[in-house]
Amino acid sequence: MSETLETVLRLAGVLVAFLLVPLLVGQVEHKAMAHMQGRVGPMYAGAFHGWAQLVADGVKFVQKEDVVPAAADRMVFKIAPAVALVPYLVAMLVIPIGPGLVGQDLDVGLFFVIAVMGVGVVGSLMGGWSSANKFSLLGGIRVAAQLMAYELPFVLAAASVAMAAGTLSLTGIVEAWNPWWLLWQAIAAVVFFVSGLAEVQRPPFDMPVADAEIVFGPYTEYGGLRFALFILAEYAGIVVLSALTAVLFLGGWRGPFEDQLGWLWTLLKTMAVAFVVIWVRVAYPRLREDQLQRLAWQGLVPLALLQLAITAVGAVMTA
Amino acid sequence: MNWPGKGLAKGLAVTFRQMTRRSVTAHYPDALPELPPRTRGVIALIEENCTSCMLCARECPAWCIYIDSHKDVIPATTEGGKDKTRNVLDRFAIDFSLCMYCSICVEACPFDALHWSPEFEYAELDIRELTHEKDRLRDWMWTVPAPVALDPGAEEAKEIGVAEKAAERAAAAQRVVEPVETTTGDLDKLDQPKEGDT
Amino acid sequence: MAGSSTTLQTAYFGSYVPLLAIIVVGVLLVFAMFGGNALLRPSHATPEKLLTYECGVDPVGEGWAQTHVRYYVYAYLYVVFAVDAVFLFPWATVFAGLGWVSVAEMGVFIGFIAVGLVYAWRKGVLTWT
Repeated sequence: MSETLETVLRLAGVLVAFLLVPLLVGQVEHKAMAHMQGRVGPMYAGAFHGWAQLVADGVKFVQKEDVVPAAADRMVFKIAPAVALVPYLVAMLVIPIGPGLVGQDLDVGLFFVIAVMGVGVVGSLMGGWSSANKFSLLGGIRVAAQLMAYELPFVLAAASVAMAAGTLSLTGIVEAWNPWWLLWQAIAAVVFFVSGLAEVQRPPFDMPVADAEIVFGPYTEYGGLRFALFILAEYAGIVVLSALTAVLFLGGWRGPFEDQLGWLWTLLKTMAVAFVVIWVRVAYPRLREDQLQRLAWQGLVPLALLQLAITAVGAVMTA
Repeated sequence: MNWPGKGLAKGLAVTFRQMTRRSVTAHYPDALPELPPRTRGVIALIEENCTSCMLCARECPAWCIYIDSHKDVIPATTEGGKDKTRNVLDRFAIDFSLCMYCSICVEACPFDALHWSPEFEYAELDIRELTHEKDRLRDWMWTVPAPVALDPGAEEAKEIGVAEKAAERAAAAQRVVEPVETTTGDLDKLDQPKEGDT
Repeated sequence: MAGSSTTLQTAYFGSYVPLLAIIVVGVLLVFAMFGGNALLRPSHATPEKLLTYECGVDPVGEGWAQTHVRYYVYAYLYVVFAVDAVFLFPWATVFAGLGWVSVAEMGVFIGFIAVGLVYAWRKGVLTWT
């Protein structure tokens, strides 16, 4: 019984994190991006520097009309946002934030997270295809094209960490982590982060949504709550990517006073990586889809293979 | 020195430095903007100056000025004289949903009946409310600022030159008249000024 | 974990129960959101509103159109490498104990595919035409 209660508590914790942390990242993006551009961002909602802007947005979205275009494939169109959103909730379940502080520790956690993150992309594809809109279709095709580019270096970089740690459990990886991994796995970290950016379709790899050229890609026809779910999925994606980068490459909860403050370390590292995601968005212009392909196949994949070799040599030598 | 990724690092550095600086945002509803002189906010009308000549309405590229007027007959004041007619303004309206703030009407008005006011907060929820009738246009007149002072060394306004010439002419005419009076009245005084003083 | 194979199995699959639960929670969350939305939203569907968006003009032709798929070569490459990557994971957890032989074997395996990538690169299929 107490075990059931504990499970319920863990699930509740994951749900709360899922609903809060993406909003936190979104708010940081609002303010940090604004100040990087010499603006101030939201100032009114919640009275103090617009802290409740995203809550206000949510209240607005939930009151908006639910429009399904007449030409759209209704069923697919309607469930696409959920398909995009729920995988990130599931991914959050297995990401540890402290020793024992994890929704559910899976012994194939790393593999599982990567697999589940791939499902989220299907939501975008569904939205792009079912909208019966030319912009959406182009966006959907770009989503598919992008998948070809980032997925492989992403997986290879993750495999490098698995090789270094000798386990696929995310908790096990953090426990095996050593500060000198920062150097040893540096290439993998960069490859993982860059291809992760492409995975969550964040600038400079936001060609699928490219609001200035194909309106909003797969989300052109979406409005109201369904649109909000897609956006929430984007920010949940940033959180999952940042948390994964922190857990795999930055040592998760490892740091001074890790027994008491481990969760804080994970959170700080995650937020630091999320800040870089936002920072990169402000600093760089959007790439073209073929430039991403070139970057991935001629840059990231060879780099990841090189990292695999380095990891293999290092792991066998130290074993 | 060039090294790979230098451009990328520079991009990050520039954005981060900007973040540490004060933002340039104008906090508009909390702090009102300092508008430059001659700001084109809204057009004000001095009804008394308007002769319903329709020049502004005809020059308006957006056709957003509506003028209705009728002729009033002023009966002759002298016996057997001719009756005079006078234009009376019935309606003067500007549709600010069409206006493109080109200022041609203000320039075109020969009687200085139209002026720019810097007021800009007249948004409406109903587009029909954006057609300001003459009472409202007259009210904007109270917000028209005094003309801006000329730049130092600038050519004076034509009106001042005209007025000065007129004043000089009047003064000269007076001087011509005055000596005539003195010669006829006090010719002796001119010969004996000291006596006249005492 | 030291029990019989049945307890091992229940422990193993037991760790996937929260997983199913969180999927259910996610679906319920979505339903709750749309439930709230259904209570609060207006509904004034007009034919114009339900028209496909095309920058404000009436849509031309169908939304589903044929496009030139320029990246199918990437797709082939990707499928080859993705299958390879799946093999990489179980190997990654044990290879350190197996030593250099295992590394060399995996090196040959990945090497073959890497040569394929180099070949594709040299052939120019990695440039978007």
